[in-house]
Amino acid sequence: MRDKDFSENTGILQLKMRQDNMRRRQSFLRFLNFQHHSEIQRYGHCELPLIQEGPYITSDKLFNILTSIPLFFLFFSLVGMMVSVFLYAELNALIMALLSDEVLFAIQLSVITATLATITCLVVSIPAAYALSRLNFPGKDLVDAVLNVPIVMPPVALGASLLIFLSTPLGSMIELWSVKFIYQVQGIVLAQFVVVSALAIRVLKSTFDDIDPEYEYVARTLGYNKFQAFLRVTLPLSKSGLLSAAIIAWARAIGEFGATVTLAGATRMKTETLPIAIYLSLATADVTKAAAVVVILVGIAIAVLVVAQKTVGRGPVL
Amino acid sequence: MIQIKNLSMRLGDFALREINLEVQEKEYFLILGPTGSGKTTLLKCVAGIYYSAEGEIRINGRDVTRLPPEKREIGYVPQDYKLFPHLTVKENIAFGLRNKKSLNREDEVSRLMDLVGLCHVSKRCIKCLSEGERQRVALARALAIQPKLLLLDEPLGALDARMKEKLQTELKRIHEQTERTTIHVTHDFEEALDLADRIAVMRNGRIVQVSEPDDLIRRPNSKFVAEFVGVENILKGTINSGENGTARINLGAMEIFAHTGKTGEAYVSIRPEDVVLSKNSPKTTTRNVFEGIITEVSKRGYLTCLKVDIGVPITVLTTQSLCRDMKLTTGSAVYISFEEAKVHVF
Repeated sequence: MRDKDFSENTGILQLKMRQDNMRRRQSFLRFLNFQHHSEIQRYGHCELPLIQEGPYITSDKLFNILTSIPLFFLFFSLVGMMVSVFLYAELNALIMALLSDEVLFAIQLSVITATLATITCLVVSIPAAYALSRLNFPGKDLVDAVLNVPIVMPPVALGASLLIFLSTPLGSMIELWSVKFIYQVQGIVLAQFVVVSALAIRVLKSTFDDIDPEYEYVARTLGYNKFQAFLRVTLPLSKSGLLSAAIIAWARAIGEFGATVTLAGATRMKTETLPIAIYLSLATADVTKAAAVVVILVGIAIAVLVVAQKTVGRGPVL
Repeated sequence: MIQIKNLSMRLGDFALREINLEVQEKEYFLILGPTGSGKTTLLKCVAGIYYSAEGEIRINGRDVTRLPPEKREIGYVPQDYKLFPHLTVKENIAFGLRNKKSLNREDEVSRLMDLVGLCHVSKRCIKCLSEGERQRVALARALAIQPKLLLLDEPLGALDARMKEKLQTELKRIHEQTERTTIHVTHDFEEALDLADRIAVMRNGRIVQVSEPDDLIRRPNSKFVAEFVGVENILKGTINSGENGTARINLGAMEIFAHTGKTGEAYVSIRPEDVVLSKNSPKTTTRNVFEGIITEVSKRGYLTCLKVDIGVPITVLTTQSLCRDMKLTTGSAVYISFEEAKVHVF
């Protein structure tokens, strides 16, 4: 009997301690604004302890701490890197470099080429990904595999093969009769396009794969032909996939260096995109300018993440 | 009138074989079959989603075999409805009305929403609808184009029992009100029984029987149909020669009498509610009287189901009050009898 009383008492004690903990935790969470306010109001009066998330077994805690170490190591190294760039040069020098003609030119060129590359890429990738998702044809696996190659291939090698292709008789014909690419701004767009379209096709294919073709069938019984059904049903349904493909493509195009430098070269004030500007500045030991461009690229990266979060609801993750 | 002639097609491992069907104007036609019997495939062929290599489909005399879905004037309600999640309820219903002027379109949409009983949800998004409401929206969307034919693919499949009963009545009402020829696919026999003017039973890509619901129960033409529609007391036997259209059928342990012109091996079925129970030898004209022992008593809804062993097990359905009055329990000795005309031979 006594034992039972005792255990009951300790039980109640534990319960009270947990309640206290819970209240403390709740106020802490409210402080951090982690928990929704109305939820606390609704359950705040509750006498019993709420379900507690998280571990209370020591080995679980240990495991969590062990996995957190590399996580926070990575986090702080990245923050450290960015801060060091900001602190490297004096603010005045940094602003001067930011406003220099060369950097302004690079920003403009990068934004224009990346936007052009993204548009071309979407125009080609949307139908291509749709075909890859919906059609069945012999050799489909092979086509799928080849389209993946640019993702795993080093961009420099991709640029080199573009360069070599354009020097073949067929390539020279293209150079001669239509657009010139080698060492030209058009070459930047082409290089970015090739690197980026493989990614876009991946994202779009999985988007289309997730949309039940039955939706199109229903639209067709309602009097829409195949093309209209695609425009009115499939495209709106794949809105978030389209946005995320566009965002990934644009962000990747802005950062493209390897293929661009091989195909379009690194000519100051001509084919000088932001990454190439970093390369050229470092080559001439102008670290302040390089730092300025890095600051811009970090800004663009953060903007892209914010836009992705706002429009698609998640980061641009493959 | 819908005519399907010699429709055959292959889809992977599965095949539809020589489908021949005729659905009358304004008829509510049920296609009944177990999972994988090809009923959805057949429906999609009619809708034009699948093209069949062989055969012919005619709607009101017009050959639509080679027409794309948008030219067939067919209302299609697919499994789990496939409402467009990027549109509101109203926009979903108006989806097929794009050629109408906007004023007419408004009228038409409200008329359709009235018809299916959906006035309160017009501006809601699709995701916040209940399963029953979704079904109504899908129905309204399909009816919007004034289809010559309405195709419903398991429209009551995702609903719970109570909702199902309610919407079943609604489907009936809507059919009576609109008088649209309807083909409805299901695996649920009771649903079929309640709704159908006629039922086609499918198995392995073939249609095995087409008949009115009553006929399907009374006269299934194969063991498969009999079992699928829940006919009990299916026995196998040999038909011995009979006289005056009455045959003697040897079931091994015993012989029963039935009206049939068939000879040789056959299946026999007796519906459990057609069997008469009595404590003493009954005074009746039928020769099908047997003595047996009750081996099992169980409830089935409001009725009582008895298993009586008369050499072969026979299932008998009776009322609970009768069971009480006759004091029937496991082990009781009873007489059972059934008329020759109630024995179905197939």
